[in-house]
Amino acid sequence: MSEKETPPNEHWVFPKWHNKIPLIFFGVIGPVVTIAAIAGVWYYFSPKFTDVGYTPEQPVPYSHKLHAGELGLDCRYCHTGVEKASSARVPPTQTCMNCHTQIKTNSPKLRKVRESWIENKPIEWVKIHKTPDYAYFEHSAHIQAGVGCESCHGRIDQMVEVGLAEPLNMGWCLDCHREPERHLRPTSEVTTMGYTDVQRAEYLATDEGKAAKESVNPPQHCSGCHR
Amino acid sequence: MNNNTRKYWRSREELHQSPVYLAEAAKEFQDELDVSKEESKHDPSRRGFMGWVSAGLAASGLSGCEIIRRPEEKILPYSVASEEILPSIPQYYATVTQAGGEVVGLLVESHEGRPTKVEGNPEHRSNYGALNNFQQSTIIDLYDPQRLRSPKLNGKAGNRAGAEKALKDLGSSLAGKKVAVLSGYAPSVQLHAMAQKMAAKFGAAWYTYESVSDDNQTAAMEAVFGEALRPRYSFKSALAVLSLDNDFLGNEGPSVAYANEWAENRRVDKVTAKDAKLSRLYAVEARYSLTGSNADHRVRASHGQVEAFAIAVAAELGVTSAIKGGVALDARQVKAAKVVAADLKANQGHALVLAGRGQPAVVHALAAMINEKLGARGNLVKYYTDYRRPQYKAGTGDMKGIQELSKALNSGSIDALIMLGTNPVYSAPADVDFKSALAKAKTVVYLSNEANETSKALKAESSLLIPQSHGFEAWGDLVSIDGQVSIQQPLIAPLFDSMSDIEVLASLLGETETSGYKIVRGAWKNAVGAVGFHKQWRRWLHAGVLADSNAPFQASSAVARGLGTLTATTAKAPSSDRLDVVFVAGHNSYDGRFANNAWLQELPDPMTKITWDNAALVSPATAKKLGVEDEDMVKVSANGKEISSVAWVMPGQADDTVVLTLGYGREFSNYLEYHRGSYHESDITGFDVTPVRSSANAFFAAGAKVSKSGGTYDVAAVQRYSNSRQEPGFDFEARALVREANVEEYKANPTFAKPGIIRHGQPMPDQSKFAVLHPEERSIFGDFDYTLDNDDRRAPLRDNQALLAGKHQWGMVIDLNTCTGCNACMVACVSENNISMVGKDQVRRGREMHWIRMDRYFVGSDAEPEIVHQPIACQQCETAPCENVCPVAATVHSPEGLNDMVYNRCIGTRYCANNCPFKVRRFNFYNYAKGQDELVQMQRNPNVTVRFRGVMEKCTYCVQRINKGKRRAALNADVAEQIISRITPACAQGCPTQAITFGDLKNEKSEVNRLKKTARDYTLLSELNLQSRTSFLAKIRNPNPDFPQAADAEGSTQAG
Repeated sequence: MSEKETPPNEHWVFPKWHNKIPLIFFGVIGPVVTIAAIAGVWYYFSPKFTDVGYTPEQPVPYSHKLHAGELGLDCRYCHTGVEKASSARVPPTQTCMNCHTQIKTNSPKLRKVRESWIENKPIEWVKIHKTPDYAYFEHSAHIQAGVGCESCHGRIDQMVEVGLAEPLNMGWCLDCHREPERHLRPTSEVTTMGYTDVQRAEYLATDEGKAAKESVNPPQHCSGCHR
Repeated sequence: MNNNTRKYWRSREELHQSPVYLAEAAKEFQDELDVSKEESKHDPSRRGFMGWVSAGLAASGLSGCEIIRRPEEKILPYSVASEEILPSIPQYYATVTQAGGEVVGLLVESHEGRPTKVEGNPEHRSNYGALNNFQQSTIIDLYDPQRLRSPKLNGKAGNRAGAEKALKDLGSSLAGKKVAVLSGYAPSVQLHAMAQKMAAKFGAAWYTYESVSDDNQTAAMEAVFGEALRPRYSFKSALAVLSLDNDFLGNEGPSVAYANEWAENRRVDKVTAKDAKLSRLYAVEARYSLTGSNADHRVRASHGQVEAFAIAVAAELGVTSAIKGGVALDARQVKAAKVVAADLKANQGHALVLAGRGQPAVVHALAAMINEKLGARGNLVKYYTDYRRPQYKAGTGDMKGIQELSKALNSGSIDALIMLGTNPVYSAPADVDFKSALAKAKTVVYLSNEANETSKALKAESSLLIPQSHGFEAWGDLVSIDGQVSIQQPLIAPLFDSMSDIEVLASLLGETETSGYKIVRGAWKNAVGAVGFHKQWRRWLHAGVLADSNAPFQASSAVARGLGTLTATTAKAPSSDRLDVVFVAGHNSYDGRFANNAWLQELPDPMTKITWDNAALVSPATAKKLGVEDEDMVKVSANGKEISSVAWVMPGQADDTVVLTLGYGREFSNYLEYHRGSYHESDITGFDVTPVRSSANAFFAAGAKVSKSGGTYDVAAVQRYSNSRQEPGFDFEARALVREANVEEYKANPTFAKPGIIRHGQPMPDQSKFAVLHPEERSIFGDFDYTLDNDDRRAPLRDNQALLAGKHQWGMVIDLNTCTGCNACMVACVSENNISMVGKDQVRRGREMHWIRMDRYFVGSDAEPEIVHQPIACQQCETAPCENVCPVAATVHSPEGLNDMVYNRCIGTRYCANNCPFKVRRFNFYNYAKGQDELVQMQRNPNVTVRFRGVMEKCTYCVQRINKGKRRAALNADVAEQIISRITPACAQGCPTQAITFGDLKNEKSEVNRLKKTARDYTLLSELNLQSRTSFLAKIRNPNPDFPQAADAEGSTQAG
């Protein structure tokens, strides 16, 4: 069939505005989608979105709010060794039983603790605060420098169930390693919850505070944390 | 020494500029490897790929609606915490181990109850805190997935309790029957006690058998002293040492202690500071041993000539009435013997002669008599009871013992045979034919750590096959050569249903106490008395050694009474149709017990640089006569038997001699399973040489024939070809990687190693070559500023430059004069840094992963070359060429001068490796660590990242140890300086001779600073202005000016 025999049928002809489709697509929708995708990945793929707030269910409904907040146990009663070791150890069942052989001995919530105690098997806690395997975090260094527990772990004393308070990603680490003075406090106050900026400012103005500021030089080079 | 003829070379192809070598060297890039076959096995299929894509899409869809976490992980705290264990802080326990009767003290690092690394116990006199390659590798034998896991009791699978009961039942049925026990060397107080009990209860005969036996030495000691003694040499004051085929720097005797002591008189600046003399080492040998490579003068002699040499020296010193024997020496050797004898005499009281285990008894006896004559007794050599053979019958020995046992079995006169951990079916010489003898035994108890040749030869229905506990799982005690007792303390409960040798015998004897702990502790309590015992026991366990008063024997005062009945052997000189065969214990395999140990298998032999295999070594001239070349398959026939092997040309070896290495060709070497990540196809490594061994002369055979059998065999040898192009300025002569001088030259010009003047006082050849290549010898970064203090650290970084402003500046010095090339540093590094083993095929492609390697350079002609060993790891250049080329800043400088490698940033371009002048960067071509057995993973150091596919890695100066030291110093401010000065990388810690020194350059008092200021200090490729943090101390040889010169043999044996 030649073109002469079949004159163009008007209904088959695309309307003229169709010519703008590529323009609209590449000029408007494309950039919008691209920007939205980048912004989306930037925000939604960041640990701040993906990780912060992670609050898994634990085998035992242990309340930090009750123990650390209301009863006022020091963090180091259970998380011993934090001043000496790179890890702040999760307490052995024995630590729970120090008190719970006396108190709430029949509480159904403590069934798994008692089982662990009797069977000599560990309680399987779910890990919340995790750095990648190639990053080596050292608790003792931070405690010694005077970085409070709450700087990384948040207001544990207000958490019934512990959740991740900070993203723990490298950018977040470096924020503090570049400006450590924003998180320093006297080492005696390390476990204090709710240490205020005013208190910090007062501390940093003292001779001790000034000395601490001088001496704390957190590494910013790679092998400081990666090896 | 004619300096102008000295030429350094890595392979004979390079020395002779063979066409193959020139073709390889002319290429800038290597040929593309055909990896299609290999890739196809490991690449994801199309379907797999689609799966991943869709999973990825699904995952990204999910991100909008819920939180994505990494896989949920659990924390498992102890239910009842141990008082001592604080998670993340390792603990160190003192214990002890032995291989082939050599006992060394250990400190084992344990992470939360999981032993991960073995180091030496500084309190132990047999190793002074260092370890050799075998001892460091024992840790992965513990985690070998191929270990036997449960007992097989008369054909049925059982457990530990079942095994104990079966042993007890067997024991009670054995009254009045003939019982025999076979063990390896057992220098243990408890085993000696058990042997006595076995003899008392069952009249059991105890046979000891080691394939690498000391029979010749024992026979000599019995002849000279009338009893089985062992010499413990001391090199602390030895100034002239003659080694008659003894590899005391390799694997003979307490070699770690010997190397350490020997090195003391080789530390040039310490020796010269005391105005003392440098020691001098002579070696006479047929093979080229590690000791030979460290000798100031090495006499290349056939096996029989070594004996003649010993006789000549003895005669020269007037030791014996003239005996004659061995193979006639040539004129130069005769002269050499005279010169050596004169030197020994001149150093009377400081001279020592050692004989090798392969030499006939008469050579050992002569060595002992010479030592007596030279007054070495007491200061330089002491004799101790040979404690390795319980219930030893004088005049027997390992080879006679195994033959006797074999005969007894064949005659059916043995009802029950108890074998404690040896593997005689593999390792006994062919004429013993232990396999058929074993079939005649009525009942067999076999304690073994693996399913091996012997366990396969057992009759299942009448045998108890019991897994053997690893030394880190069992209690025991071991006695070193000089009587130092150590308690063997376990680090972990037995992983499987295994038993120790003591426990097996206790069950068999029907004792009430069958737990190793109670047996050992109870016995010692009885021995030293119950008063205050608990405290003493705790102290023993802590220190790792007992007081000398607890030794079961003291130095012998037996009087030497001459050669006794020993006579010299008579032998004909070898010729190309009547070759000599010399058997040597493998540097990485020993007698075959390490066949399943991937760390050792992949460790290059220090002399041949062959990995994963052994070879039939021949000298260049012999190779030419036989018409064989490297990698040709050959048949070796000796003692009426024939084996296949692969030929390998070893420069410096005696002519008409074949050197065969023991310990390969194991039928059951399953390292493939151990390293599932490696892509090695064959299950057997190397060639079994035991068929041509005979028990009459276990280390030597004469009249052998070698013929080409057609075909070739791929050998994975490292360091064969030069990596460099043949451009002006890039040849070895100009680069002067190793620098060395004679004592005289050094005295005349102490700064000979400094840039501009290299080796033997020669000016660096044609300095203008550098001018062409590097017109401006200055940094492309500008100068580094060490003076900046911490406050300026936050100053904006200038351009690309990391300010070296850290509080500490790390540096390393390696002394080429004390480095023996033993490879202990390589294993230490593998162990500390989770380094993957890659398999033979990958090594052939040049993909080995060792962070520190041992380079070996030949010097001189290929008939009689000298050797220089040089360990090379990352030099931590301040102006590192690798850093500029990384597109993602995955390798950058730390303020403390470390060239950091960041695995999580690396995208695998390999530009850094291309730009590294030292080829020390290693690339993970595959995910070598993936898919490994959980058991294997238990060895990993938790403080070092396990690397994955596609990333580069390299030496970090053990940054995890640096960080740990800095942390400990911060926590203990009052002793901070001591803690910092004790930071030691794994290689330096493990070095038997302490040739590697590490420390803080900013500390004026540090040892590393002191060494860097000495005249011998130089850095590699300094003309590239790398500002390396690792520097070397030039080698100083101490030749005897009277020693007869070698005829210039260069060019006499051209490579094909």
